[in-house]
Amino acid sequence: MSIVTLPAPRTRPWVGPVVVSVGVLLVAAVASLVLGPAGVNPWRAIVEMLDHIPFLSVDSGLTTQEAAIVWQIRAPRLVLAGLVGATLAGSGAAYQGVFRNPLADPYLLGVAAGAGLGATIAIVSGFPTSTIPPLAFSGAVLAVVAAYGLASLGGSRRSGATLILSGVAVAAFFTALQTYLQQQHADTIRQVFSWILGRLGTTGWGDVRTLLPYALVSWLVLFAYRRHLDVMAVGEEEASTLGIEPARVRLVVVAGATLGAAAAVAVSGLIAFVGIIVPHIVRLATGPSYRTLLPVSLIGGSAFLMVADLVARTVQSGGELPIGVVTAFVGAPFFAFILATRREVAA
Amino acid sequence: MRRGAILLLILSLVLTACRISTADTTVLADGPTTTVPTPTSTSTTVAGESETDELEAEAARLLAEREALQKEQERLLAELDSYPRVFHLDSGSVRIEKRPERILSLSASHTEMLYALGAGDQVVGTDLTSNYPAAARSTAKIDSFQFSIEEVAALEPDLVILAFDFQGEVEALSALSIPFLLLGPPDSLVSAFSQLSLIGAITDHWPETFQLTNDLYLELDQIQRAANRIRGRTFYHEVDETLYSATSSSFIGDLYRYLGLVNIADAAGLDSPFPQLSAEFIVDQNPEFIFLADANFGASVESVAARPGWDTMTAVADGKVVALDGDLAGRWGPRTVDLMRSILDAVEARLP
Repeated sequence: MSIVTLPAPRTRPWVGPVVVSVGVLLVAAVASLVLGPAGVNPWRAIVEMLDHIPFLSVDSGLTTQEAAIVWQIRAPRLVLAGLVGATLAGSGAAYQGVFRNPLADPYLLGVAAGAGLGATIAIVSGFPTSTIPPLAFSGAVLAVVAAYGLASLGGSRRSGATLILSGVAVAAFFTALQTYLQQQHADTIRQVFSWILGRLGTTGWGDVRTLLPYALVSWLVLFAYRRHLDVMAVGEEEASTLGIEPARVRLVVVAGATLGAAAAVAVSGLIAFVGIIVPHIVRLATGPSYRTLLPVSLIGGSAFLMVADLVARTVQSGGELPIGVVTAFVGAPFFAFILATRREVAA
Repeated sequence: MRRGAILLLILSLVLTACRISTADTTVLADGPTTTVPTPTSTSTTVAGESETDELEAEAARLLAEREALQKEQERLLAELDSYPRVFHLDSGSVRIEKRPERILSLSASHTEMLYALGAGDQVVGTDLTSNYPAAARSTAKIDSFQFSIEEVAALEPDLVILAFDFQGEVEALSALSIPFLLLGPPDSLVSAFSQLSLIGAITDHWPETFQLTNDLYLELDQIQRAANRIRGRTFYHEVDETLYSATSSSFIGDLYRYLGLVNIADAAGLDSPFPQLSAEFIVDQNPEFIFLADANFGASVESVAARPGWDTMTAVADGKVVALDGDLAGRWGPRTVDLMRSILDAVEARLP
C-alpha cells in the first residue's frame, strides 16, 4: 500500500564499529583463555581449545589437570562472561531506548529485586544450589510481569513513565521481602550476599547451556527491533505518527530484554553497571543510532565482562574478587560522569 | 574466710604448676626428638634432619604457648581474691560484682566452655545454635541472630557472654547495665584457650579451669605426636561453596598447623584470613586432602567431585575429600581437640 518507497541507504555505518568491537572481543577472549593463576603455557592452552573443535585432533601437550583448567574452568567461564555481558549490555541499551531514559538499565523493572528474592528463597530454604537459577529466573520474570500489570491498572494508555514507577514500586516490595527473609535467616547471610555480588561459572559448561537459548532469543528480538528503537527516540506521539505502536514495541522489547537479563542474572547473580555503562560507552563512540548501537553493545558488553572477570580472578594471585565489585568499581565513576554530562549522551 | 580462700587458690595454683611441669617432662621425654629435651634446645640441630628441627620448633611453640597461658592464669588469679573482680581485657576492663548465677550465653562456643567448666548450673539461657551438651538444649532459648534486648532483659541475666556485636548488642546491654563479656572469634588455639580461662575465672571455677586446660594440652600433645605420621600433607579447607577458605592466620587454620598439614590457601598470598580462592588456583595446587566445613550447607564428597575440572585432583580421585562436622568446624570450644582428632583420624584412614 505504500506509495513512496525510500531507497535503502547505501552506506553501512555499522560495519566499522562492528569490526573493531569484534577485534576487541577476540583479544579479550584470548587473554582470558591464556591468563590465570595456574600459569598454563599460553600457546598450549590455545592448542587445547583447537582440540575441542569437531573433527580436529591435536595434542596440546598439557597434563590432564592443565587441560581441565583450560577446558573445564577457563573456557566455560569466559564464554559465560561473554554471554552475560552481551545480554546485560544489549538489554540495557534496549531499556534506555524504549524508555528514552539514559539511566535505564536491565534491572529497571524489578529484574534484580525479583531474582534476588528467588535466590534468597532458595538459599534460606536450604534447597540444593542447583535450584537457585530457576527460582531467580522465575522471580525476575514475575517482578517484571507484576510491574507491567500494575502499570496497566491505571488504564490502557500507559506511558513509559508509569511503567518505570510501577517497576520502582515492585522492586521496592520484592526487595523488602528479600531483606526480611535474609534477616530471618541470618545464618545463611553470607551465601545471600555472595550471590548478590555476582559470580561467573562455578558449574562450568552447565551454566552456559542454561543461558544460551534465552540469550539467543533475547538478542534476536532486540536486533530485530533496532530500527523501531531509533524511531522511539523521537518520542511516543511522534513515533505513532510514523506508523509505530509505542506500547506494542515497548512490550516486545521489554519482554525480549527481560528474558535475557533474567536468565543472565539467574546464572551469574547481580552484576552491576554492565547494562548501563557499556551502551553509553558505545553511544559516545559511535553515536545514538540503534542500528550500530545494538550490535556493538552486544559485542562490547561481551568483551567488557570478559576483561572484568579476567581482572577479578587474576589481580590477587590465587584469590578472587567478586565480579560485581570490579564492574561497579569501573561503573560507578562512569555513572557519575554520565550524570554530569547527560545532555551530550541522552538516549 | 578470705584468707582461707586465698590459700586455697594459691595451693591449687602450685599444684597445677607442678602438674604442668610434670606433663612437660613426660612429653619431652616421650617425644620423637633425639636432642636434649628442653625447650631451649631448638637451636641444636641434627645434621640432615630438618624435620626434627620442625618438630622441635613445634614442641617449643606449644610449650611457650602453654607457659604464656599459665602466666595469664596466674595474673588472673592475682586479681581474684574476692568479688568484685575486675578483668583487664583488650576491649577494656570488665567489672563483675558477684559470682554470676544467671548466665546467658549467646554463642555456641561459649556455651560449650561454660558447661565443660562445670558452670552449667549457672546458665539460664543459651542461643538457638547452642546444641551441645544436651543440657544446653533445655535452657531458655534466645535467637542471637535477631537480638532483642527485651527478650534478654526478661531472663534477668547477671552475665551475658556474646561473640558478636552486629546488632548493637553492646550498646543495648550497657544501657541496661547488664554485665556482659564480648569474646569474638579467636585467631589461634591459644587465644581460644585464654577465653576459656577467662570464663573460668569470672564464673568462679578455677580448679576446673586448670584441670580442663591441662587435660586439653595433654590431649593436644598426644594428637601432635600422632600427627607426625601425616606431617607435610597438603590440604584445602572449604568454608563455603563459593570457595571461601581459611589461611593459617585463622583459628581453624591454626589447628591444621598444629597437625603439621600444609594449607594451600597460604600459597595464594592474600591478606585476609578467610580469602575467596579461585577454582583454577585450587585445581592447580592439587592439594592431597580436601576438608569441607560447609557440609551443613549442601557441600558433599559427591558435589565436590561434580565440580568442573575437580575430578582431575588427587584428593577427589583418591577419595581424600573429608566432610567435617559442621558444628565442630565452626566453633572454638573445648571440643576443638575432638575436631583435631577427627581430622587426624580421617587423614590416617585415607593413607595407604
